[in-house]
Parts: sequence; C-alpha cells; structure tokens
Amino acid sequence: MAEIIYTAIDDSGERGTTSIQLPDSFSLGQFSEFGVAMATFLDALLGGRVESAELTFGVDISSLTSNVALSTSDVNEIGAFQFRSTPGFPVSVNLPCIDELTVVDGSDDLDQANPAIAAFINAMDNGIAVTLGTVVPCDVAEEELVALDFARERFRASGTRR
Amino acid sequence: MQDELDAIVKAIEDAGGRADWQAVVDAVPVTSRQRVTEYMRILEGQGKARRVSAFDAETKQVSFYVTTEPKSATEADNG
Repeated sequence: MAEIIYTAIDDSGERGTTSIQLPDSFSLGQFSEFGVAMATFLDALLGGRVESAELTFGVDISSLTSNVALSTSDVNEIGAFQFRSTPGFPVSVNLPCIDELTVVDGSDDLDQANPAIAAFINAMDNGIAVTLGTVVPCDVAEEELVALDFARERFRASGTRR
Repeated sequence: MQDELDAIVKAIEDAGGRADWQAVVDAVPVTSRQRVTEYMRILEGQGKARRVSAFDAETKQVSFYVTTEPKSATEADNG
C-alpha cells in the first residue's frame, strides 16, 4: 500500500498532517501526478497553506526473524548517525531503540567494529545490492552519501523519528 | 595507518577474496577498531577492497561482507 502525507501550515506556523491511502499498483510518475492534483484540491479546500506532500510505501517485513522487543529496549535510546553527501550536506538518521550493546564502554560512541553497526553504515554509504542494481541512499538533492561524521548514542523524548 | 590497510587487504585475500566483517575487525589493533569504517572507505577509494551489503529477493536474506573482487555488472550503482 502507498500513502501520500500532506502537511498544512497555518498563519501561526503550526503544522498538521493528513494522509490518503492508495493501492501501490501505479508508477512513481502516476503517484506524483495524483499527489499534485490532490494538493490542488486541498489548496482550494483548506485555509492554511499546503506545505508538502510525501509519498510512502508500506513494505512487507514479515520475513524478518528474531524481530522482537528486548526487555532492555527503550524507544528513547537513539542511535544518532550523521552522514555527509558528495556536496558536503549533512544527512541525519536517528534510530530509536538502539541496542545498548552496540555502544562502546565508557563512551557514547556506537561501536563501528560491531557487525550490525558496520552493516548499517555500509548500507547507507554504499547502498544495498538488490535485483539488477544497487540502491544507494541519498540527500535531499539525490546526491549519494560518502562519509560518516559520527555515530553515537543519544537520548530523546518519545515521538516519531523521521 | 598503512599497516592497518595492508593487514585488512591481506585478511580478505587470505579468506579467498571474500571475508566477513569480523575478519576486518580482527586484522586491525584493538585501539584502531573504531576506525575500521574509515579504513574501508580509504581502501574503497583506492579500489583495493570494498564492503558489500546485498539482499537476496528469493530467500529474503541479507548478507554483509568485504571483498577484494571488482564490482559485477549486476551491481551497477543507481547513479
């Protein structure tokens, strides 16, 4: 399933979101056309400004194994990664529920020798080889990530991580 | 640092050109282990070794390894 999330902003600067669910059987181009068209209808309907539209897809992750919440897990324990793209723009990824065992003793650094940390960093850095290609994460300008500034543990209040 | 880079390449070659991450970690001194990602990035820039994360759509399994093998045609970047 796909979903388009619209964000509206009022004149005091407060934001609200609404989402519209869609079948995932269309192309990215068709979704973009739908997204613009629906934003146009919303613009006519809403008093606030339609600030953004984001397309998301649901992914079947039922094949994961050992995907359980450990008794020590805590959504407020964040794995904070900052990467840098080719033009030098920072890209932050904050992972909730980071496993405490991935933190270097006596430090807030995440252990880059840990295979799980190393695999995640590489998946961000060099992408993941999938059928007939390699998908590499990017910054907002679609520039590839080329460096890691830091990987450390951080604590934050509960909430959505994006 | 060159010693660490050479040791990583040797560890991969000793494993037949493809090794798991632990082989890279074991190849560098304990005091340098937080820099293994940086070492691998340097080796990738030099074209001597690279990290690979892959997903097998059939088995739905992931793999993560280091290799001295060049990229295959099917691993082309997304550009």
